[in-house]
Amino acid sequence: LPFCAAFLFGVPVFWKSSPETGWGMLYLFGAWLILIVLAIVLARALTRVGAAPGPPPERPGAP
Amino acid sequence: MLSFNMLLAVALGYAGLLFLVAFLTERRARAQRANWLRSPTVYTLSLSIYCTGWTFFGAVGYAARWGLEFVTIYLGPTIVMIGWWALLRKLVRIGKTQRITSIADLLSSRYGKSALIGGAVTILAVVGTTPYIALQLQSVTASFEVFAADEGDQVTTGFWVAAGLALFTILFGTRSLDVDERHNGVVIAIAVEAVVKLIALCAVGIFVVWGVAGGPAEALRAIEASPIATWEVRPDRWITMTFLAAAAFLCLPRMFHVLVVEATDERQLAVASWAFPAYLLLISLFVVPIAAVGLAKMPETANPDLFVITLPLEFSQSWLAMLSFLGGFSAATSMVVVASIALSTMVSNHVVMPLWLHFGSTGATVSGDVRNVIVNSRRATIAAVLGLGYLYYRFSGGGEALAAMGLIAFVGVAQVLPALIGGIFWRGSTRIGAGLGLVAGFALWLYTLFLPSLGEGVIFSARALADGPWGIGLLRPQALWGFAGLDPLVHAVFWSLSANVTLFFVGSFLSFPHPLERLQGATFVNIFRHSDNVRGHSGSHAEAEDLLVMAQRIIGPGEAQALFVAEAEEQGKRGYLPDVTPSFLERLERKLSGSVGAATAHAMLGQITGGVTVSVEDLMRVADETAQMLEQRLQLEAKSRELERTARQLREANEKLTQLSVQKDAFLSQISHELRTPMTSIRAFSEILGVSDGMGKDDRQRYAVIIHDESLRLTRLLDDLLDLSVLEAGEGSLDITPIGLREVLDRTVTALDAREGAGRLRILRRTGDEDVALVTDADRLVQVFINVVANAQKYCDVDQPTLKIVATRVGGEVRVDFIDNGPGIPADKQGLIFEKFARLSDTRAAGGAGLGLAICREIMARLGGAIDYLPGQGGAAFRVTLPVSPADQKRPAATIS
Repeated sequence: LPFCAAFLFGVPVFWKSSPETGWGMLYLFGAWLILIVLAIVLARALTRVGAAPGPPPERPGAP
Repeated sequence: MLSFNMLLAVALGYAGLLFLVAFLTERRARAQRANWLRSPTVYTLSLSIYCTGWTFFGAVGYAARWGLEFVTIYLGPTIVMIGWWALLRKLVRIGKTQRITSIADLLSSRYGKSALIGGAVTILAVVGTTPYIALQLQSVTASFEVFAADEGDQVTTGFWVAAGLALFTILFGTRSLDVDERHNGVVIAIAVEAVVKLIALCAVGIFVVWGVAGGPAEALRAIEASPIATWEVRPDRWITMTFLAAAAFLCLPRMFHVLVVEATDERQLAVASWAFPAYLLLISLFVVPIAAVGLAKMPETANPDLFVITLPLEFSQSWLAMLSFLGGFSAATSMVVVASIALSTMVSNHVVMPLWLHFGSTGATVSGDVRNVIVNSRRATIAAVLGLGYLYYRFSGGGEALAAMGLIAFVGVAQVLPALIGGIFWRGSTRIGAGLGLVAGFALWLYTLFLPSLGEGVIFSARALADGPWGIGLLRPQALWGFAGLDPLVHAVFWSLSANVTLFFVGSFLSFPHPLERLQGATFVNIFRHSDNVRGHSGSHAEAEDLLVMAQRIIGPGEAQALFVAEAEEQGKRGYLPDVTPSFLERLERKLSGSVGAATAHAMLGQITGGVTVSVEDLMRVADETAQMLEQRLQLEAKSRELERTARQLREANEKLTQLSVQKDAFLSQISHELRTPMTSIRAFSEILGVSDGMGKDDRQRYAVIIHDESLRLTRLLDDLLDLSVLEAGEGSLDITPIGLREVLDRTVTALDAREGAGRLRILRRTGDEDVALVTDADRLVQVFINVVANAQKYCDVDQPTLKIVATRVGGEVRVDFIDNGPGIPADKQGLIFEKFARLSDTRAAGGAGLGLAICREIMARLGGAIDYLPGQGGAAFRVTLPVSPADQKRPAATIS
């Protein structure tokens, strides 16, 4: 995913003459959106793999 | 249009509201009734601290000037969040397990608790953040100016804004001191501000797209009709800025603070990995439309940085403009508050406290003293940071585009990146490498970007900027070493980070980390394996007996037992085994540290207690180091011993040479004397014979006999010397043949019987024992025996001299003893008899030169045997030892009969 993101966001480097700015915006924000969706899927998978949980829930009124 | 006073009242009211929210949150958190604080949503919103006044105002201005390039500032963090979730998780885990309070603390801890690294990162962070603070001051000041252009000049407004922000931050951030430096109230306030600024920017965007442009399609047309449409990608800037934004997202002190220090649960990252990029996307969505419409609708003199306020005002949307102002105010204040808190923590922990402890800690035995020092130093730091920001704002002119200031700050803090990434992924990185890289990167950043950004005449003159200091073109700050034509930002990033990374690796490869640094390196790199209970030993499962066994091996049985007994007594227990409490383990660790070092002691206790602070592999590395040191010590000891041995050998050789020199002198003296005596006689009697014509026949004959005898003696002496010389040189051949011992002795006796006066010595033999076969040079052996027997004839001066010859076969050799009944040889002379010219009586009486036994010793050595004097036999006794013939060795050894 990091390389995918770097590639997608690096594509403008290869634009020899810029496309219309509107289309450029659509491309970048579209790629951005796709990556966010992929990150949601990946984050769920990684959470299942096992991030260390934080401290136990605090009990109301505990000293 | 809103009045300035109303604007001020709204701003103060908003700040008061935030303060109230923070205060109530802190109170609930103290009462343990704020679980929602740990929600991923709050964490994600707190990350929005990345979006400052630069984002709120500057992004629109940036887009109006340079098109879509502004988006790189958000693409960098997006790549980090969605792509390097593992990296962030590692940072958070390190932060939690090591109780990290700032990025300076993390690097200091990683590089062996190095105070220098902590101090260097702190200074870099303070200087690097200064342009960023200035940027916030400028954005807030400019937004104030929009509403109250006639109320005062920008500089004065900027000063009061800085003072107000300092007061606000001090009230917010230094009200309490937490062990883990978490500020629940501040986090909630930031989250509220994040919502406000997002809503404000989106509201302005929606108004511009639908209210001003007339819909998305028209907005797109406006974009294509605006100067933004002429924007062209500059690949070097695009890549550099994306990278810089990613680096700054990790290294900015405030980002590190909310990412790591304020994190409570790694699972928050999973949500933030997509939610924060979504936030960035939303906040960037309307930037280009606002810029394009602003360029189309606003006067040419209008500042694009302020389109988010001026556009609503232009269309009489005062309340929207107010909301926009509050959004920008939120963005700026939240950044200033968190950045100041983070920097004040770093300065108090890594600059003030070390100096205070070093210079003024003598009276500070009360904990309250320390607390006051910390709180006051943090307050002073906050004021100083804002003061520096204000000075930068003033000296840089305050008229530059906001984005330029932000990028300068980005390059500055990015200098921490090599040490940070290297520190958590590469065990070989050392503090020397990190320090060199930081200093070089920081210096080049100052030289190529920061100082030139202050403008001509502040530090660099216009001529120095154009032609280089002292006219040296290669040192031009923005064309270093002749690299002209590069964008100043790309130029600064290239030189500063190239030098930083190069020195980081070179320094790390050429230096060797000390044990604590290595242990910290292992812990940080393998944090997921080492992350349980890193500090302290609570929850230990160790047995006191195991600890005692280990302690005895390190500090000795007596001291170890005394320590355990004292602890047991203190705990009120009988015996010598106390309960294994965390406090006892800490005391024990301190005690062991004195013998094996802190790192090793900690590692060893960690292994035994089960608080796995280091892996077995790491422990083995520590052991390897110890073994290497031991090995080196052993090698040194061996070399020392070898040197001692060589010195001893040299000493012995020297003594021997001295002895030989003395012997040589004695030999020359002796030989001269021995040669001179007969020669003198020969010469004297020859002269008498030559000049005495009337000498009688008898006299002449007597003198001729003397001359003849002396000549013989001289010849014999010379023969002996020649013989000895040949034997000592190992020259001359031996005629080795089989022969019986009895035959050799018979030849000896026969030869002696022919000599004058031989009949006086009675020789007693046990011929039965002489039946021993030899393989030897018979003539040489006879020569030895004759010499020994002849000595008995000469020196055994008793009435009835007797010589016993006894042969004894022992193993593979035969001993032939010659024992006379004379007075023997005095004990003090027994060691000399085998030396050359050694004689125990008058030379002439003995009739020899004293070379006989010396020759015998050499002959026996050549024949593989020996000749020795046997003391305590009554008379003189010599033992000749010879190897028996190999064929005869199979025969059982005979005993004395």
